[in-house]
Amino acid sequence: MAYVTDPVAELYRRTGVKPPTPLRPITPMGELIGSFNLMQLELADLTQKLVTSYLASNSAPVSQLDVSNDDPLAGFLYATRRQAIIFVRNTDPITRRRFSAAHELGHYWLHYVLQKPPGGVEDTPIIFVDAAPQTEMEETEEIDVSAKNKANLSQYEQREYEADLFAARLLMPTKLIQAKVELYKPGFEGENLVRRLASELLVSHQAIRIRLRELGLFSHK
Amino acid sequence: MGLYFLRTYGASRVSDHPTPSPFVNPDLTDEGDQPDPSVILDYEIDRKSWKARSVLGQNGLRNWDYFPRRFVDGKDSGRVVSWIKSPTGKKIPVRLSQIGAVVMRMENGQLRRESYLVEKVVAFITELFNWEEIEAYAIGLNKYGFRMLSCQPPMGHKIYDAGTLRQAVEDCSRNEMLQLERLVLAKYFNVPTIVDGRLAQKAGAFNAKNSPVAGIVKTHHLNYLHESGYELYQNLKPGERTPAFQLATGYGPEVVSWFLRLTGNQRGEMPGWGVVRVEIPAYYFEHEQGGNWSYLDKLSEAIWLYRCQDVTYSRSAVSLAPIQRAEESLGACFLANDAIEARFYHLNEI
Repeated sequence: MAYVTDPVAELYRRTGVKPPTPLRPITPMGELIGSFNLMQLELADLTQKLVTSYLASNSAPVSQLDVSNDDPLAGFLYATRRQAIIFVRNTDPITRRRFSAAHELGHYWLHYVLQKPPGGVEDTPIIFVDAAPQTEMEETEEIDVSAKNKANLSQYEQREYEADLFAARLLMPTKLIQAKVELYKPGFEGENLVRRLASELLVSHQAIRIRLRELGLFSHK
Repeated sequence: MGLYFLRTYGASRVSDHPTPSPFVNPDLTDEGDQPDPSVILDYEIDRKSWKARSVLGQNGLRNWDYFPRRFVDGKDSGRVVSWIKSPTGKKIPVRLSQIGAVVMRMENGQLRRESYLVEKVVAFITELFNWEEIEAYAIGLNKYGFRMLSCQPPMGHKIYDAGTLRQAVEDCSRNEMLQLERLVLAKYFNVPTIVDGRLAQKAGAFNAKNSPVAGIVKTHHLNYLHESGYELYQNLKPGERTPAFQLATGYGPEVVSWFLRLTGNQRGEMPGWGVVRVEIPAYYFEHEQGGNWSYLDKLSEAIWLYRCQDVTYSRSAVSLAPIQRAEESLGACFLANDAIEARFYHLNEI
């Protein structure tokens, strides 16, 4: 991957989209996605089989896909030089769908756009498949970007970690969170803070709780 | 303008007339959203020995360190202003409201507004729509000073039941108002404070171990008392309280609670009218106050001294004057609902 110190800042710089502020704290995910040649689609019961069927009906190359795989997915990225599509599962809560889309945008940005050599790449599809969490605990683990030991990760896990980290920082920017926590001091913390920030940032309670922990700003009361 | 979402989904203006809800929803009451409580009636004295206890004439009350000085109240003023149709054809209510919370502080005999928060919120069930449209709408509302509340459909209810959905968005808005109350309460939780309603609803905004906070519950929908206790509650005289009992609802801190009559019942009201239920954190009472019953008596008299004496106020019999002032003060911070609605319709082009 091309070396970029802050891929989220680079994304805003490259797209010209305005980042969120404490007064307007919702990350404009749709606008960011729209800045690329990138579509986003919501499908019920998202599986590779369903995605394959959709792509095939749109004349996209699907030879790399597992046409028989019925495992439930939370998100899916399909990218070629001509088209790129983020799929998310529409039965997930809105906040979860946004996180999945941010995660797939992370793959697209970190593992596709920033890795493209000058002059473009061959038109081989890049695919990222993100399984749906089966349990709430698994979902917690999936977006818990703070606890993983990067050194022991496989390449697949490393990329998933990077995409999770990117999504968390995109949807819940450090400075914005710090400013909000400062605003609500003193006394307003723990789950009350989680509820408030989740509502303001349009993210799940779980995601913001993990982010606050990562930033050392979560305390039980 | 960017606020085309509602129009896209067939929004139209809705006139202001009440729509009966098909279900009774206890969550709307002061004591609604709690599971079966556990009550220890023999907490202060054996339940068989319960009798009224006058709290008037406590020594040194005026200089008492724990005389309540802060008063917290909230307000949610709004209504369903539009209905939209989800992509799957479900009718979804959109509620526009102003929510707010205020803290009044008594200093040198003067009651002043310490702080307040007011927000304009738009509440509806968002799950049936595309996340990108919801996000764009929320960002668009932000630009114009509104905040979108992403409400959840009620658990266990059929999503097509319009009355239930309407109730769900009302609850969503009210919960956000309670969140504002917690936010203003949390600022100085070490100062003796009275909050309007149950302490469980403010959990997390005060420290149940060392915050001198008391909740005043005006409407009573659950009976925690035994038969003779209930009779005592109805027959209390002004300035009298029942013995205290311990209450654990499984939500919020365990509390020590008792009934206190603020005003007499002289105009043919229901027997319990004029009686409030007071709650304080059980841990605080037992550890910080050493379980001293005179603390309850002093606090009760302080509350009684604060009783509302404005007979023109419809709920004066169960209200405290500072809480009434808090309501008025907060009301003055709200814009006229008609004006907010007109602006909302204009921005949404409906």
